[in-house]
Amino acid sequence: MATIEFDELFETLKTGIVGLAKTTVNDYLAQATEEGQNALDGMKADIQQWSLSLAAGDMNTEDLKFLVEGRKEIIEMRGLEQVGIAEIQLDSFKNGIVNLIITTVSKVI
Amino acid sequence: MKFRFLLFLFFLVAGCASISHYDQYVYTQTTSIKVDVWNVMDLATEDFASHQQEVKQVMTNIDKTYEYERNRKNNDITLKLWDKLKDSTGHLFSGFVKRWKNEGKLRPVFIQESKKEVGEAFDVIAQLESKKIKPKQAQ
Repeated sequence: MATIEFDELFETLKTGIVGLAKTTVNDYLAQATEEGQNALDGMKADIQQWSLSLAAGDMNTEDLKFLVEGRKEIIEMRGLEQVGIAEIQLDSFKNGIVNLIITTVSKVI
Repeated sequence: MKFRFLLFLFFLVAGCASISHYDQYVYTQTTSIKVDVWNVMDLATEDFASHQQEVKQVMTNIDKTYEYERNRKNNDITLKLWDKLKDSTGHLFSGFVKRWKNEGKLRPVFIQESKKEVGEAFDVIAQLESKKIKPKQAQ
């Protein structure tokens, strides 16, 4: 049976885990930033459209109030979605560590 | 010592998932109910009393999917998303139905705008589901 060089193994694992963490966090941040920006852009366009509809008499103030409250609830849902995505990323990260340990240990045995 | 630590690390990270894995049934149901909900919302230019049956049907389908979601492990976030959609004091689908019931009919422009929001609410649920780890990718 081959002798396992634990110091070398740990260094390999450490490097792998740091790389994995960087990729996971960077992917998540880029995605969250893009989705946040899209949500803001969408909200601005909606409010402009609703104001025009209100002025034209196609909607009343109750309609407008309902839609603004609905938009607020969507933003809350998007926030929950981000929490969910963060948990998915965490699970992917954990799976990555497991695979890294298996691959790295398999190579030295 | 280091080997024990490695084993500990392995079992620690392999042991538990933070969030449920992807479920094709849920994804299909969510996108399918979205279309049914949109179709029912289009009817709100007419009297609520004439369309109670259609509303009841789609509400029942939402309740069935909700029950399925409720029994999945580590599924709290998705359940909270459904809670928003189902909240009749809110301003998404159940809130829309409550308003339709109270007012009899709703204005076409309002219906179209509310449909966009309700559609986005369903999209949030479907998109989160689609991002979940697929069973074959899981440990």
